[in-house]
Amino acid sequence: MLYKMLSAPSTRARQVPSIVRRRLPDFKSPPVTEVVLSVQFAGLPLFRGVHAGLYWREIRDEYPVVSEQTPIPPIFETFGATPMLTSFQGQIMLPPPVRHWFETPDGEHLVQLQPDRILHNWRKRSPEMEYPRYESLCAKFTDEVDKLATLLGQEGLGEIRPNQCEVTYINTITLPGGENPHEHFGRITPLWTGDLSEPSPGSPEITTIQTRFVLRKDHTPFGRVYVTFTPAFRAIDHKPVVQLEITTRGKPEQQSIAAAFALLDEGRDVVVRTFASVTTPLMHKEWGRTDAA
Amino acid sequence: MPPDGAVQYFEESPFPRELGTTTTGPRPEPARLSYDKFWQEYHSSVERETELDVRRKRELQIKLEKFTQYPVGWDSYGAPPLRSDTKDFALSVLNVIMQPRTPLPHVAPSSVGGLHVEWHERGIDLELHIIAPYDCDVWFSDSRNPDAQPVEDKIANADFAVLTEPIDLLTSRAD
Repeated sequence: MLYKMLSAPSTRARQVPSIVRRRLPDFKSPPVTEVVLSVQFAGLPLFRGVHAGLYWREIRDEYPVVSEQTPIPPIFETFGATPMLTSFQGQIMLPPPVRHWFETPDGEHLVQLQPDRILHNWRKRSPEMEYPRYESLCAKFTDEVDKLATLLGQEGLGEIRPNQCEVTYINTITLPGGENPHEHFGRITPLWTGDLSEPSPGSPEITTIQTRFVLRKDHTPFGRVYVTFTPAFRAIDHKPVVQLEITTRGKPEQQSIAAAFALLDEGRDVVVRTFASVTTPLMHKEWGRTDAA
Repeated sequence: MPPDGAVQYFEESPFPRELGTTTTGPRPEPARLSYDKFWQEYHSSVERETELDVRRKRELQIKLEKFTQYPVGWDSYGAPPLRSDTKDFALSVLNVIMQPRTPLPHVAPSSVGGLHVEWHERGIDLELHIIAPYDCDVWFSDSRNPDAQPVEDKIANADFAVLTEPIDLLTSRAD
C-alpha cells in the first residue's frame, strides 16, 4: 500500500489545509506497524461507564472485544521562553474514570474511549496484513466520532469540543541483508553519523534518538512533532529492529470536530514528510519510494 | 501467533499506555515524559531544586485538584468548579513559563470555572485568568519601573512567550 494522499471519501465536509494538497512522499512498502488517530476534548463531567456501554452498543458489531485500561492523562502543547524546565506533570489523585477499549476480533482495529478523548488505532497483527490507507482509517474514525457526538447529544452529556489532536505512526525498521540495525543507526537516519572524535570507546552498542520540532502557523506555534528512534527486538523472531515513532500533536484552530479532522489531516501530512526527512535515501529505496525526493 | 509488529525493548519497565499506542512489549517512557525527565536532569546539573520547592509545587497541584472537586455554587452565586481540562492546561502553562527560582503563584478558582494565577511581589503584579484551555487574560504591571506601562492582553493560542519578561523579572529581581 502507499503512504500517499488521495482524495478522501468522508462522511464530513472537512476543511483541508493547502499544505495537505502538496504531493507527499510515497512508499510501496512502508514499515508502518501501527497508526493512532486521537482527539482530546474538554472533559465531559457527566460521562459515566454506562455511557461507554451505550457507545459500545453502537459499534459492537465491528468491535466485539471489550477491555478497560487506565485513562490517558490530558496533554496540552504550550510554548514559552523555556521548554519545560520545571515539572508540574502528573496526577495527584488518580482519576476514577476508565478508558474503554473496543477491539475487532483480530485486534487490527481498536477504538479507545474515555471522558475526554477518543482514539482509533490500526495495528499490523500479522505479516500478511497490509497497511490500509490513512483515508480509510480517517473515514472509520470520522464515523466513530460522529456516533459519539450523536450519543452525547441524545443523552444530554454535552458536545465534543476538541482541544488537542494527535497522529502517531509507529514503524518497525530492519536493514537489508540482515545486518543489525542497532550497530548501523547511520544507515537508517541522517540524524546519526556514529562518528566519534576519539576511537577509544569503540563503536556504540545501541543508540536511542529523540528529537522534536515546533509546528507554526503565521509564526505562531500551535503544536509539536516528536520523533523517537528506539532499538528493539521483534517478538516473532527476536530479530533486532529499530522502532521509529513519530507523533504530531497540536491545537485545532477551533473547538469543532471539523477543525479537529482538518488538523489530523495536516498532522498525517507532517508525519509522512517527517518520516521521509529523518530516514535515509538507502532506506527509502528499500521501502520503494516512488515519488521524486 | 504474535503480531509481526510487536517489539520487545531493552528496558524492563511495564509498557505504559499513556499515549494510547499499544505496540506489544515493554517499552520506555513515552516521548513527552522522557523530555521532561531530560530537562529535569539537565536542570539538576545546573541548579538543583530543593525539597521545599518540590513540596510547594506538590501543594500547588493538590490545591488545583481540590478546586476541581468544589460543588457547583461554591461561591454562593452558582459558580462551577474548576474544569479538569483547564486545571491540566494551567499546569502545562506553568511548565513552560516557570523558571527554577520563580516564586510559586497564588491560585484561586474563578467564577466561570477557570483559574486565577497571580504574583504580587518584588514590585511586580502579574495576573493570569485561565478561563479555559487556550483562553487566557493577562495583566502585568511593574511598580519599580516608572517607564513601564501596565500590560493587558488576551492569549487565545498556545504561545505564552509574552510572559517571558515578567517571569524573568519575578525570578531575578531582589526582594
